[in-house]
Amino acid sequence: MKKILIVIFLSIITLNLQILRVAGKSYNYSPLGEVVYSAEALSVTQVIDSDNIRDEFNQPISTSFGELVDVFGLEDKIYLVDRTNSIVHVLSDKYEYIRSFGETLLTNPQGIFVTDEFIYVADTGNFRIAIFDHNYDYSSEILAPSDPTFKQNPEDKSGYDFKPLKITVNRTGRIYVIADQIFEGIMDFNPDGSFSRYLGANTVTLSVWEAFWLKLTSEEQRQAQGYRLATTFKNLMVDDMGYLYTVSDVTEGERVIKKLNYKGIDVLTRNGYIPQVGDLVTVPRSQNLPVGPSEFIDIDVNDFGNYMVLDSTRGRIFTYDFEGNLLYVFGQLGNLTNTTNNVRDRFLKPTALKYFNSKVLVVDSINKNLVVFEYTEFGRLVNEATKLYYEGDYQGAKDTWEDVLVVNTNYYLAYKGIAKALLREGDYEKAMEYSKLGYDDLTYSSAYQPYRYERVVVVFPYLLSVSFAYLIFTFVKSAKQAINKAKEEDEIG
Amino acid sequence: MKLDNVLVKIKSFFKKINIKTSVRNFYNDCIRMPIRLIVYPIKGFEEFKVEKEAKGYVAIFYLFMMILTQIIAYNGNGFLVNKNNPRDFNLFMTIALVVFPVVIFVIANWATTALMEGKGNMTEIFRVVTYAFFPYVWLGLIASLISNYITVDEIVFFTILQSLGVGILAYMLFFGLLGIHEYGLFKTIMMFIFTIVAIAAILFIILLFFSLIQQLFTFIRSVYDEFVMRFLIWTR
Repeated sequence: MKKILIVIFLSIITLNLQILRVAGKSYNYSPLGEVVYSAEALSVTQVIDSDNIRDEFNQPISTSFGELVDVFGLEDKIYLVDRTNSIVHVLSDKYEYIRSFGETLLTNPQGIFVTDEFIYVADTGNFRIAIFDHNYDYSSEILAPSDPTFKQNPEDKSGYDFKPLKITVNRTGRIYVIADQIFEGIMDFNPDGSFSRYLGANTVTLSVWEAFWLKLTSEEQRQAQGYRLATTFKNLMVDDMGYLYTVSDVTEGERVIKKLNYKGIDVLTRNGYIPQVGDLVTVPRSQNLPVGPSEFIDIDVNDFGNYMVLDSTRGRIFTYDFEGNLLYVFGQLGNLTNTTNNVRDRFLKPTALKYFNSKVLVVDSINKNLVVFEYTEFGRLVNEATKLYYEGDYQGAKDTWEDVLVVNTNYYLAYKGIAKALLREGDYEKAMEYSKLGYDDLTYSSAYQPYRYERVVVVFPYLLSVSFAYLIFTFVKSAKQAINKAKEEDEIG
Repeated sequence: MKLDNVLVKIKSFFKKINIKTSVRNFYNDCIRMPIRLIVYPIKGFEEFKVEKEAKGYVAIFYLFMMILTQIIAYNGNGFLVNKNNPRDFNLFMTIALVVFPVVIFVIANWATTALMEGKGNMTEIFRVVTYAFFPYVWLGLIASLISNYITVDEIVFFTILQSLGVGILAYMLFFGLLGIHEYGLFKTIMMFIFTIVAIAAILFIILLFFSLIQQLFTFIRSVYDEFVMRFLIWTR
């Protein structure tokens, strides 16, 4: 009797644990906006911090990490911006420490971008962009544009300080900078370092209520209210084609992620099931998670149009494909759900992320570490499928989506992808079935149209002949009646 | 013996029913009369009131059909126009969302027209409201049927049918209430405005009532808790 009780007790405990574990697992959103649990797309494989960092000869190093605020990976090197120590750490692709650079030259750096030629560091404390070559020697600098908006020298009292925060450089060497307190948009510098223009400012919008009050207030009252400023960009990244991917404040609503072309116009495709705003449903308070909308602080784009954004509210990373579908969500803050002790592979205050080879790097400024994510089988398959679809190999994409469905049956995007491929093959009936499962209206519609035509072509001749026969029947009947009537009238007459 | 008697009775009952005439009566009452009301609203609603052409069973029938239409629209609409989550379907709510507004509207309208010298009584108001469901029900059912056989470009036909149903419903309601209360055009418009005000007042009172009941309940509950804590737990 006791044994049975113990077994029941233990099974209840393990069941509960399982439920808890599922609650912390990866998720996605269904086309109807519900939370659907999903297979894990990325998992943490390595966490590099001051304790376990080694140099090439597997020896501990003397310097320790400060507050890491930005990360960049190019070819076989990883660059970490250390804000408190005002240096940049360079790591190899095996996460071995190579060296640091920028001591005495940098003050309070905030951002980094590396091209084949140069390393651009946003040297916020010195009000400039410092440029280094690949021997880590100081090469040149970009100072504030010669414009009265900015302080031209330290004694100048009228302008703003030029405080570059985030920086990106396209393949022709044009430098795009987000600077503190600058509301005109992204600053665009020529390759030689001269200022060119402002780009793609967010527009100021008024709600109906605000507009109503603005009508009632007098000129003095309006001045007392202060300026209505456009929301500034939080971060940016340039892709191979030269498009700028930006993230802004939550006030931008559904257009919080933008893809700016050279004219500064937003051209992002928004064809996903749900808008690209991160978390859809506000998390219930009982789960002890921070409430409120996702606030994006960093974005990175890979070579086939997938982009991922880092949410600082709940420490989650959302990945979207080039059409705007939410592919997968990973990452989580570690100090949540009643755990005060921090788990090493969870974040405390993630600040930046970067695609690096087939991995994802995330830096955390409070944990002072670099977290390395690697794709699981599921994540790899999804990436492959979206890549094949991006390249136009629909048949290959279909086969890969079928593999994805083996791993995760609740993956609506896979059904959608298969439906599109089936429609191209001309298998309309199956395409309809799959597009219904994938909630894809347009594919369903364009598969249904030829299907309906095929069906109607079979039925229509019979329909036509029957109605034609009826027509003749009624005509003959009425003609007979008319003749009879005429005969009767003749007889009477 | 007894079973035979019952069977004979049932047989004689069914023999009394003439299926042909009953179907014809049903057709006349449920289809032809409402169509007549749409085509000749003034004359039709005069017959409706004076000659007692309105039948109670037709009113109940259309109230029931309205619920059925809502259920079919939720579950049976085609894939392209149906963005409802089938798991969110709630039969009780669907019925309540048809019956409750009808009841409130009838009460509010009766209350206002009683003050505004309307000639209609409550039964007539109820019958007008349910007869007005006629276009909505049939056009809605046709729309639900064709929504299963359309493409994205043809959704406009579905939308037209549905909005036509709502439009004719409003038209029938307007002329119906005008007819049974024997009002002019302006007074009918005023009556509608006052009815909306009355509906708002009724909803407000219901809300107030429920929140009061809730507060009373929590008060009794806390008194009970206090009593249990003080006299039953502490003394032990």
